[in-house]
Amino acid sequence: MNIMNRVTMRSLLKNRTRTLVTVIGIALSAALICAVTTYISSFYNTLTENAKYENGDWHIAYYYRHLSDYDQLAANDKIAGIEYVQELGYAKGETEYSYNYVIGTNGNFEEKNLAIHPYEGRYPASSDEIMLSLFENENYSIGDKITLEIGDRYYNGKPVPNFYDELEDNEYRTFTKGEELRIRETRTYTVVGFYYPMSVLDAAALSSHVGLGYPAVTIADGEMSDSFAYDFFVKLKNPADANSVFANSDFVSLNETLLTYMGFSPFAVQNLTIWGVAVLLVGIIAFACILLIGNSFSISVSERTKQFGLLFSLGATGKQIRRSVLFECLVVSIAGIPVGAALGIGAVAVSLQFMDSVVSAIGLKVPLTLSVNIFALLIGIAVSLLTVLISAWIPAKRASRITAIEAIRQTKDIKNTPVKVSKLTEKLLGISGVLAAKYYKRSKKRYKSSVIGLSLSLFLFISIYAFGEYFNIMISATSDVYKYDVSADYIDQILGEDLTAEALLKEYKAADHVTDAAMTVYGDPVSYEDDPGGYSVSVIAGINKSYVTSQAIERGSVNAPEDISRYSDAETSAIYSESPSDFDSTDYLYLDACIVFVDDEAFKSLLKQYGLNEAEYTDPKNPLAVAVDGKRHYDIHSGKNRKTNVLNSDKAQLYIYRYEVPSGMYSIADKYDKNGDEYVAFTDYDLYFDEHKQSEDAYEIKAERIALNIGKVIYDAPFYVTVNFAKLNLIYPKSVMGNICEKWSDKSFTTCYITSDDHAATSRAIENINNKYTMGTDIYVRTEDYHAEMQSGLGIIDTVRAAVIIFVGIISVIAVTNVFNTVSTNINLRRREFAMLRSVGMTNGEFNRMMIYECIIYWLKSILYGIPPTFLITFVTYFIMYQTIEFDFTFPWETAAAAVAVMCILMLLTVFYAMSKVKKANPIDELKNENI
Amino acid sequence: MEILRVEHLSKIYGDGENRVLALSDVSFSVEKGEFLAIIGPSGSGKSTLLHILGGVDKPDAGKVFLDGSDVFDRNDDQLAIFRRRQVGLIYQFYNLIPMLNVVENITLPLLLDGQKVNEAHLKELIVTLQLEGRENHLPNRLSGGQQQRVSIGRALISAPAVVLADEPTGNLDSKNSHEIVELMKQSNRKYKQTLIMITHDENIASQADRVIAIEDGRILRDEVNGR
Repeated sequence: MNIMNRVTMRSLLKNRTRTLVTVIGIALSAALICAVTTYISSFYNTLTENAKYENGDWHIAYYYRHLSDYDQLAANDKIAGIEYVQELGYAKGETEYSYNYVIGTNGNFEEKNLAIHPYEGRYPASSDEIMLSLFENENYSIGDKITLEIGDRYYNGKPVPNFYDELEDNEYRTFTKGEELRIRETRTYTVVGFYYPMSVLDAAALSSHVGLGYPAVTIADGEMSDSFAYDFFVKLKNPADANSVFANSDFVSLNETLLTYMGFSPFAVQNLTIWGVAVLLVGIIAFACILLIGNSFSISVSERTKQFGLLFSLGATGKQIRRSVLFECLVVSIAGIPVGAALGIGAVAVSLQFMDSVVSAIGLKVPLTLSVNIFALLIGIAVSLLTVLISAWIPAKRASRITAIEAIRQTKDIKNTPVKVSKLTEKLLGISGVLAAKYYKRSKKRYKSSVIGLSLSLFLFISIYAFGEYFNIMISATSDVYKYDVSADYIDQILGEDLTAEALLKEYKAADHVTDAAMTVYGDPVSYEDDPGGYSVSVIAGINKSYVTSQAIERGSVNAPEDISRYSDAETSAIYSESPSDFDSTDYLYLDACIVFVDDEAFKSLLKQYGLNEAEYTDPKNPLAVAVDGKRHYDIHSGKNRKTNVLNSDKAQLYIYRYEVPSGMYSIADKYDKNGDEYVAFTDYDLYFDEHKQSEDAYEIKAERIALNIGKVIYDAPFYVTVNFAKLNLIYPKSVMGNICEKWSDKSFTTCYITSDDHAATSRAIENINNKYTMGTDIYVRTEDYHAEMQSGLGIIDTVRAAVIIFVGIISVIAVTNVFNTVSTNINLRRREFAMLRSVGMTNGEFNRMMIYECIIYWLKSILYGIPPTFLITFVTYFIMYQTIEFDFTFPWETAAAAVAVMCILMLLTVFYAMSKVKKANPIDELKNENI
Repeated sequence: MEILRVEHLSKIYGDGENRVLALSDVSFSVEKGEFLAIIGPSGSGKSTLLHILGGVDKPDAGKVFLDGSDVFDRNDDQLAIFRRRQVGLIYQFYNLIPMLNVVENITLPLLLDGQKVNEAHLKELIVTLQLEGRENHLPNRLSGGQQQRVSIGRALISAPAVVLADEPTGNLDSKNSHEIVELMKQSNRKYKQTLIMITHDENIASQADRVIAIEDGRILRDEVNGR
């Protein structure tokens, strides 16, 4: 070791406390950085494992293939392995209307390449054993011998297509009246287990089957034969080849989720988001740490300034001094980084144990497990080292610039100009206050780094918190976040004299895990002579301009009369039909509205929520509506997600038009009067746009105008109102339906919206209730698990959101250590000064007061420097996000206030902790301790 | 033989009202092996002169030639090498590195230079400095006189062209002062070592070959002691 390094090493050992603080700082930074990279690698690993669990560990699936295809695939040298599934066919399930779809796998269950996970029992071991879905097989138990008559579904003499690409939306997904099962063969099986099926959408992970019933899994017949179709699930040697091998042939699909998380996918944009956030996190942590550790180093360097000066005068070069600082940084890095990395990984491992809520929020089926990716860890260590190097470099550079004479005299550290302290300070705070102020003013430079550190802590904490808040707003605004978990549609088909809506609702509400339920009907005042079932969810409503916001006019949420087709949405029509003059020349405007009739109980609880008078809103003669305004929509003009309010006050009047479309007039266009008079023009749609024919063939019918009065405008839709359908939703109780309009469209559209604390269980329970009423009929009642649907779409976003939450936590830790480190180091540096003050007779009380005043100066300065940039960056963040999504600016004042208060408390605690140590020391020893 | 020549040296500190003329047009030269004492009141510019001679501080005007070469016609690194090889500095407050032991402190200029230590020379020096048995002691275990002897050893170890001492006895009692001055005179004679010493002590100044008196940055007197 050369002499400079020897000096450095011994300095480090001599100033053990400071070295320890620096090492702790470095360890902490390394811990934070490695924690982020380890979190990311663990999340990724878990997402990958989850994708394998849900869809299977394969890259490409070939459905409905034959033996020859297998040979062809097996010859492809890009393919590492193939799992195959023999499609045996349908067998009747436990009821006449349910099926099991029998598939024979190649029996390679150990590698878990296919998404079959035993819930009970075991995997089948031979072709006479079978594993059934846990659902729809309640009559069977393990050990049962079952005989299955296996065949194919036929409808109207034609085989029912099986592959999901060939199926229309809901076609053949349920038992279709008139369908038959043509038996091909009969097989006998022993039930050996039940598996827990993934959602129906994921059934393609097991076979081409996405039709009725769940797959029943057995082992394929020994030899592959041409008499069956097979599905091949292929694993590639290099998943990056997925797209080229896939080659877009028919009946092929990619395991997109898995490929995405593995980083091989056209959907890699999502990866970019995660990595982008990671880079941002690491960048901010590194930045904060550079300031934090840099602070320690600059304190260390300024303490060593005299030493450097001496070495300099004895002939050390600037390079030798710089190197010695860098050597110091290497030593503390070697001491700190491995400990920090281990600490970070340990912290991740521990925190993952408590992330059940995140797991369930993201909808993961596998637990979050620690995955230490060597690459990620190395990146973390490299970034940590770089952080320390940069932290040390700046003071090292400064140290080498100092001339020997300056260093020996330490002229840079003390300002010789007189310092003025205001008379007011002196009067109010006495000598303690004067000393505090003088100290601050005299050594502003040394103070500056502390104040900057503290301001930065505030800045990071508050701005990251605000970013998280904005991110949440953005998520909920841009994705279809439904407030209900499960819905049952088309249920009016099962309602009748035997089953009233009230009774069914009651039954739904009693189902498993249901927290609330509401039944709604959309009122459509237009009926069709030819098609009594013709039905529209939204209606065109007229409104006097005086009720409408200018914002709604500008953005085309409302339309001027003339030339507005019901068949083009408002946005489109706004492009080609209106000029501002149209709006100026008319008092009446038109918009899409939904008239939602909700069951009276739900309506009453809505009234209660907003403190509204029940009598006014349920008055049969003139009931008031509760309007849901402030619809978010994507605006094609500005490319923004916007929130537009239509109504400018609580009280407004709308008109809807009741009319009957005469026979033969299917193509229609509406025409509304500029004065809001109630006529509607009907015409053949094509003719309407053909100027010449219009006059002769246009066919007009006058409509009845119905006035709707709004009593209250709300901006937060209740769970049963889907704001997607119209610009404005009017909510009425079901009981006044007949009072508003004598005749609504014949067919009503009844839906029940259900909230639940276990969506899967509720979905099953609701499906069972519906099945009870639809069994044996050709009625289809749709039960949808929106919660499950939302999850698949929001998985990534939730991960990002969780990352932001974790990050705010980490930043708090940085902030706390930063405050501690800055304040305690500073006090430690002033031991001599304190000793001197005490030796000239300063009392403990005066001493404490002086420290409190100093704390307050620190604190106020930190707020002064910290809050304005925070506000600025928060606003910039808001402004950037506002470009894609419109929302109101909010600054998290409460969080900011809490952060500021906590910082003050932490500073005082730290000061008194550090002071208690100083006080213990003998002032004479401190004064004698001339440390070069 | 002339070893050091100073030409029209000026140095100004601060600016505006705080402007201090530390040195003003100072010129003199020193012969090899000469013992020169510089005297003057506080703030007269003595220390500034010494620091400039040692290449630690830079003049605002004027030149310093040591062994025929211009001291400040060097870049920073060359100047550092100049300091470690050509100059030995002794301070009033010893300025030892507290983390290094006696031997390490003495050999510091050589170690900084990456040179091998001549053990025989070191041994001789330690004996001369009466530091035997204390080779591994840290400075805080030595008396003031011992510490100053270590710093003399440090100044002499690289056999510099000139030794510069800034009130080396200012912090010592009279017995120790006497020993130190004797030691320096001894090296001056034994090694033909050029010695320039700042002092307040008339007694010490009277032992020098030549005395330069400085006041307000100017040479007031420059006289050879008639012994």
